[in-house]
Formats: sequence, structure tokens, C-alpha cells
Amino acid sequence: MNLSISSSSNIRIICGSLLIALIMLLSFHILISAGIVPEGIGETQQKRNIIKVENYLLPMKPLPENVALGSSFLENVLRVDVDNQLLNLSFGGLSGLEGCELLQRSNSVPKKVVIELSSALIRKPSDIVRDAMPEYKQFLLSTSPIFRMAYQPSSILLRLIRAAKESRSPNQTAIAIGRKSRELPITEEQRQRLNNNLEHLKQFVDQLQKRGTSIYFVEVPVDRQVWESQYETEIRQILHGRFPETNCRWIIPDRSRDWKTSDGIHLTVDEARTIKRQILRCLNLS
Amino acid sequence: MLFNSWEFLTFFLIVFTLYYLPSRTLRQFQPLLLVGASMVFYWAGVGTLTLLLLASIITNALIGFILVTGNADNSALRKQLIIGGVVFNLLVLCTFKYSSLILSSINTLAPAYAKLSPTLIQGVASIPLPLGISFFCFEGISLTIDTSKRLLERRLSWIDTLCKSSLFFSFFPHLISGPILRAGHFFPQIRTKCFREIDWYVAFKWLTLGYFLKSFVANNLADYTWFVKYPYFTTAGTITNVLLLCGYSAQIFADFAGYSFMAVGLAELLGYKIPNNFNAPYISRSLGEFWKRWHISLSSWLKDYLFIPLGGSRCSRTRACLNVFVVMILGGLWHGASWNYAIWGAMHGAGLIVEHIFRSTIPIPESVLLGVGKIVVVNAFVTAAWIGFIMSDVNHMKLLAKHLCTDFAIMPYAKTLPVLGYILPVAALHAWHWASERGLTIGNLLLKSDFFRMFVYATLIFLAAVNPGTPHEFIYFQF
Repeated sequence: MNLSISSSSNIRIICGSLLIALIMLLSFHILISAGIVPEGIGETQQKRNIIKVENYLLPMKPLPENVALGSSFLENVLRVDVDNQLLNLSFGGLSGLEGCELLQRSNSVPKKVVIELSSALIRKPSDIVRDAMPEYKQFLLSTSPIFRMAYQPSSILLRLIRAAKESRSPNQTAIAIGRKSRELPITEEQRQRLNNNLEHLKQFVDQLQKRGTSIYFVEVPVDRQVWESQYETEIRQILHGRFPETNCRWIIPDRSRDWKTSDGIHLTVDEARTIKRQILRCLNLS
Repeated sequence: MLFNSWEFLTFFLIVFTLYYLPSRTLRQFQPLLLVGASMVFYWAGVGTLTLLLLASIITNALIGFILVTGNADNSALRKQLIIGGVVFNLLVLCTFKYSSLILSSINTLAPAYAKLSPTLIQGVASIPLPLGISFFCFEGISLTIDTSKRLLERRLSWIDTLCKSSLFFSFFPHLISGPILRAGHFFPQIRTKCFREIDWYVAFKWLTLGYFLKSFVANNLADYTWFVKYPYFTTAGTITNVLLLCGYSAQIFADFAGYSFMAVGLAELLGYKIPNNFNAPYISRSLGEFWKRWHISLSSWLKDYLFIPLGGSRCSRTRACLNVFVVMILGGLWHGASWNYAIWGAMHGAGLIVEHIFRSTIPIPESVLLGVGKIVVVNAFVTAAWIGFIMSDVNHMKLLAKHLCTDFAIMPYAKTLPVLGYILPVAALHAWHWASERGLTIGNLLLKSDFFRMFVYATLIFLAAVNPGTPHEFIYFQF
């Protein structure tokens, strides 16, 4: 090390900074461990997804016996009010296969699993579970909650000021975009990917059923025009062909009704509550 | 391997330990160790495309070697070698980066009977883009030209030239996202390094700031700013979109400056001084000043190897303006093989020309208030110009511009408000620079207080550790 007189003050600054940072981290750790700092909810969709992965793989309390897996369609439905009876492992922006991976990785066997079957299954599965929780990180996060996404100061702050509450009233431009994005039929590549994803899902469902889990498939309603589009219709046919209503338990909403959405594909708060009640009723949880 | 990943930390610790082994004999091989480590680092990112980097190194080293030690008096040979070196690097760049753009543009303009076969277009489009190709090709050109100007020492053996060139090109702290090094600055630094020579404070300062900017600011902002892309921005109003554009402005600074600061810190730990790429660009009072503070290594490269050879500003005003415009368009295209980058460069070129004309015709008095006004104007321009950087489709650019000017009624989404919080550190960093550059008392007092500095660094470490955003690649990796 350069130990000249001029640099000794710099070395002191480095050591002092590291020491203060350590004190800050320790104080934060103590505040969290003592339960003084509340758990945050994640200020973005990506963070909310990671918090779900962390909460499920690092359980601080007993896990509910009923789990819901899906995309933002179902996440949006179950986010309305907190409910301890049904654990919402739906990931916004993803397909639902990530939730399956999460259950497999945790080795837990829930009593009932609700799986959303929707056009989101056309998406390429992401590596969120593996990336959010590699083995080394699992150890780090279980011993030091300060590194968990749920305890990020920004997330906690946002929970405290409740600024994260989103308005989900209909946005006509968004609805028009939602409709337009589904005008074209699905491509061959998308069809192939959907079939691959459904094959993975089928294997996962079979495994769970063998272990005594009851599976319920749920269809989350969307805007009428989106629902009737060629894109959605084709996908629906493939989904119902793979998991026929005659052989599987389905939770089907009232298809004759015009459901209100905020952007063509995500239900407004009131409509989401209706679907949530229906799901809980079907699971005998209401 | 991202600088802010565990894999990189492990990799760097191994390299650092081997690099400073307490054996004089082994320390003689430090440059070779760095070359090997850099190849491993590059291989981890691009695999077999490392061969392209190797080919580029060998070719440039060979040209440089002949230029320095060969028949120096044969001016015809020298000229051929220089042209050959420049053409080789441009050819590599065009093949791997621009061939698809060139072919698809020709195809768009060509009449129906002369259209190229779709198989050819698809084939060219599938050519992979090696990481950091724009950086090492520009460095290759600078090596050729610098050696031709006799800026390098003449008594190098072929092996020495190859070894030094390899390290110059592949030195992993700067390999993927710069800064663009100059051979004349880097070659003299290649020698055995001692552990006691490390300036720990410099390394600590840049690494802390770099990691904080990338992990806390850029990665958190990236989770919001995707919303400013098509078609999402059409669902939001002016205030939300302006907020998100400001967020993008802060994000791209934090992302790229963060990488550059980490590169400076890592290089310092290995005993090398590499130039800083950023000097608080958002306190610039003119666009000209902005380009002296933003991506400094690129703008100085463009000035030395393009603007000046084109005639620079020592010619007629029209010609000088044209030179600026051409340089800025090419500088824009350097960022990516898409016309939107050319538009972004053209916007800056046009801005620089207007500024030049304006300043030479209307003298503006200097005052603090006017200075702040200029900063605001420059920032507004730079932020608006990022639209050209984000959108790859001209119609989407127009749509966003129209949307920004017409949809004033809608209030910002509550969920986008945290963007303000993440912009704050970037604003604070610039305010600190602004105060210290003007010798303001508060700035000086704070800078002199050791405890204040310790507290600031500790806070940066704390926030980077407990509040990082979701991982995102560095924006400049794609260039």
C-alpha cells in the first residue's frame, strides 16, 4: 500500500467508509430481525415477481395449502385484497410456467393448485426462479434478510406512503392497443412454442396429481373484442384441446358477459373481485 | 460476465491474486496473465467469436510492427500499410455490424426487379455481433495511425509488439464498453506492476461510485423506463412520458458512466490509468461542452481521427458545419446499426451547428442565472434527443414527439413517481460537480470534510447493497 503521509488520510477514508457502511447494514439487519421494518411489496412488476420467488423459497411462516399459478392476468385478479387462503404465485409479464418451476424447486405439495390457462403461455419461459435464487444466494438471503427484495428501502418506503397503489380504471388507448395486438393470427413459431410450453405444463400437472394435488384450470376473462379475436380464439382452442373441460376441472367465467378491463386484457378492480370470488368459491375457500 | 456479478467478482479476485504474487520472476509475466484473463473474460461472453478479436489483434499488431520498425523511409509502403490498417478495421466493423443494415437499406431502395434474395438478407442478418466490436475496431484504427505518426517507441521486438498490442486491445476492464484507449497513452504503461503502487483511494472511489450508479440508479430506473417504448407510451400522458424520458437520461448516464467508473477503478487495481469517460455531462452549458463531458474517449477519437482529417473548423463556415454534421451522424451510427442512431447523431449535429451560428452572431453575457438557464436548455435538448436513441422506428419517434406535445391533460401515473427518487443521485452528483467547479464555499467545505466523504461513500455502499434493481445488461454492451 502507498503509505505516504498524503495517502494516510485516504486510507482512513476508505476504512471509515467501510466501517460506517457495515454499521448501517448491521443496524438495518437488527431493525428487520426485530420486526420494526415492515416487509415491502416491490415497486415494480419485476420486483414483485422476485419477492414472490424469495418468499416461497425462503418461507418465514407456514405456506398456505392452496396456490395459484399464472401470468399478470391472474396476478391482477388475486392482487385485489390480501388473502392468506390462496397463495398468489402468478408472475406479471411472464407465463405461469415460472410458478410451476418454483413449486418443483421447493418440493412442496399443495392441496389445491389453480393454474391460469391463457395466451400468456405463448411467451418464452423466463429464468426468473434460477436467476433470483441461485444456490449461493439462497444461503445469503436466508441468513441476511437485508438483501431480500422485500426489505429494499425503496419498497418499504413505497409501502409506507402507499404510492404503489395503481389506478386500474379503463384506459381507452391501452384497450385499443390490446385489441390491435391480437388482430393477427398466431405464427407457426408461436404455435410451436405454445405446444412446447403446454407439454411442460402437462408433465408438471401429472406429477402434482400423482402426489395428490387437485388441479383447477382457470380462464380469466378479457375484453370482448380481444376474446373474439382470431389470435385468442386459436390459442383457446389449443389450450382446451390439451386440457379438455370433460377431463379436467375448469373455472370458467360467464362468457356471455362484457367484462370491463383497464387495457383490454387486465380486469378492472371490481371485475377482478368478481372473478376472485368465483375462484375462491370453486376451491371451497369462501 | 457483468462487472456487478458474483462470477466477475470471483474471476477478478483470482486474477488479482495471481497478478500480485510475491515472486519477481512470475511478475514479469503480468501482461501475459492479463491477456490470458482478458481472453477468458471475452470468451465467457462471446465464445468462439474470440477468434475474431485474436485475428484483429494479430493483424493490427503486424501492421503496427512494420510501421514502427520496418522500412520507415519507404513512404509508399507506409501509406499502403496505413490505408490497409484502417480499411481492415472498417471492414471487420462493416461485416459484423453494418452489413445487415447496408443490405436491407439497399433492398428497400432498390426497384422491385433488383431486390436481393430474402435468403441472403436473412443470412447476413444472422451474422453475430461480437461484444465491444466498435471499441476494438476504433482502437485498431488509432493504433495504426498513432504508429504511423511515430507516437510509439521504435525498439520493440515482434513479440513485444504482439504482447503489448494484445493487452492494449483486450485489457478486460475496458474491452466491452470502453473507454476507447489510445496506444500512445497505454503502451508506455505496460510494465511490471507492484502492489504498493496501487492508489487505493482512486480505485475505491471509482468502484464505489460505479457500482452504485449501475446497481442502484441504472438498474432500478430500467424497470420503469421500458414504458417509454412503443406502444406503451401511447397509454400515458405528457407528464409521465417526460418524467420517463428524464429517467432514461439519468439511466443511460448511470449505466454507461457506472461501467466506465468501474473500468477506471479495476484498471487502477491492476496498475493502469485509463481515461475517464464522463465529467458530469448534464451540467454542460452548451452542446459543444456536453460532447467534451459525455463519452469523452469517443468524442475525442472522432475529433482526432475524423473531424480534423476532414478539415476540422479551419475552413469555411459552411464546410466546418458540414464536417460537424457528418462526424455526428457517423458518431451516431457508431452506436448501432440502425438509422435511428444516425437520426440521433444528426439531431446533435444540427444542434451543434445552430449553437455555433447562434454564438457567433449573438453574444450572450455570462451570469450564474443565465448559466443555469443554459444548462436547462441543453438538458432539455439532450433528453429530447434520446428519443432517437430509444426508438428504432421513425414513425414511433414522431408519435412520441406528437404525444409529448398534445396530451397534457393526463397526470403522471403514481407508479412512475419513484423515477424521481432514482434521478436524485444523478442530479446530486452533477450539483456537486457544479458547485466544486465554481469553487462554491459549501461544496468546498463538504469536500474537505473527511467525515462527510466517509458518510457519502458508506451510504452509496449501503444503497448499492440493499437496494439494487433487477439485473440488466449494460446498455453500451450492444455497441
